[in-house]
Amino acid sequence: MNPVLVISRIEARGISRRRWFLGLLVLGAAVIVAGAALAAGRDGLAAIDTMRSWTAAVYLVGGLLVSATLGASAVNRDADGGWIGLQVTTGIPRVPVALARIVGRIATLVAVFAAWMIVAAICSAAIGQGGDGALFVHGLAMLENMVLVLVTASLCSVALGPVASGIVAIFFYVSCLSLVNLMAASNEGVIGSSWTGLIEVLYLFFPRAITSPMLSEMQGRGAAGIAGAQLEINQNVVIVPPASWLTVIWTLLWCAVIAVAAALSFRRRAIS
Amino acid sequence: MIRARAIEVRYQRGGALAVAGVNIDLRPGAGLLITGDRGSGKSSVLRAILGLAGPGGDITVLGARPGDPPTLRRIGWAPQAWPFAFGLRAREVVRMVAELGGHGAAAGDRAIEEMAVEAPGARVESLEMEDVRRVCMACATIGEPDLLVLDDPWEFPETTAAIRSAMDRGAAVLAASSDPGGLPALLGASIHLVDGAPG
Repeated sequence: MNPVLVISRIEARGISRRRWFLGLLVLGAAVIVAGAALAAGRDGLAAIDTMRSWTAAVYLVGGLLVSATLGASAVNRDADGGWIGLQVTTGIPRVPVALARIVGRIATLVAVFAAWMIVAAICSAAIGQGGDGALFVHGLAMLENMVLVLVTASLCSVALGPVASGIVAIFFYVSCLSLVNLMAASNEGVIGSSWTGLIEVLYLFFPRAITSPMLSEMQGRGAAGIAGAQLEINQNVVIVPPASWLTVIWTLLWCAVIAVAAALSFRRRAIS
Repeated sequence: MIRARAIEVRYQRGGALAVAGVNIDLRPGAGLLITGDRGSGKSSVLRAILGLAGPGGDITVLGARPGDPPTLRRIGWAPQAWPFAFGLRAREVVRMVAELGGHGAAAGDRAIEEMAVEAPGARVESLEMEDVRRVCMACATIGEPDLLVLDDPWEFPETTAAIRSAMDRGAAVLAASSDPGGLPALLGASIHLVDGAPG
């Protein structure tokens, strides 16, 4: 079997048996079910908003916890503890080993989101909202955001400890999200023109957090809950538009670049 | 097999040397034991030989520089302490090493049997330390490597048999231990380290 597959598989297998992982997976699913139960007691738009906002909260908070923890453990402890040394001394070059470890973690994250999205679809159907395609698309958008967090944490984990790596990755994601919000505000002309040039340059260069059509619409109405508080700048409500396909691809490219950077920077790290 | 002159290991750029001035000559069928207290640099020397910790000095291992991936395939490595990832079973760890080394999962199962691992189906975090050492030895002996590098091998009959068998077939054995017991007699030669240098 391909060595990258062997390492990815065993990493995913080990992680999927850990208590923190199973706990977050089950807790996220339980919150989605609780949201559905609450939505079942409401009518019309209120029911739809409740189901969607609770699920979106799980995708954001749960997703951040899972992705940051997965990425933050990609290198540091396993490199110092001897586990990566055991993989590298089999004769597999370091770069594929590091990439395989990241791929295994991304696969695990995808599995978590798949599970939550299935639970959300079943709950939506159970309370008469159908499969809810908009919520499904939002799940995919958040998955991409969380892959960005995971690869950033992986890159940090080559040099930093797990906690620092996770925190830096979350801050990086928040920065990417802020940039998207600022660009939306700039486009609506609600911030000073002296900042517009800088915001445009940063927006063009950096990865961008993905906003789904569902979140954009709910955020505009102030109905997205903690997943997307209504954006108000200089007392103006700013509508953050849904991400374009170009933005989706741009951020995916950034994810790939960061993952490769993590693998390359692992080449010269001392391991046990 | 191994020819190393003035091995140096430094873990941080500009930091203190963990190992300095260690020379090693190891021929096929021979053994060498590195002894010393905890923190004396034994494991660092082994990591330098494997290319895990960027070494200085003039080192040739099986005709190549340390860490050369094709050469690493000819080396069996048993790390010290508890070198696993949480959540895995002992058998899965050894099978992974066997598969990555191109020997197939069945070779891993054979190594587990030969090292008499008591609980191959148990999670690694629940293993007794004795079984941990056996699992590490099983990882090292897969596929009859040309060079065995063993960090803190415990003296079980299976370990002794594996070392003797390797040397008999012409493989070299480099080991490190702070509590060598009968290993010096088995391996034939030894170096004692004090604070990272031959003492």
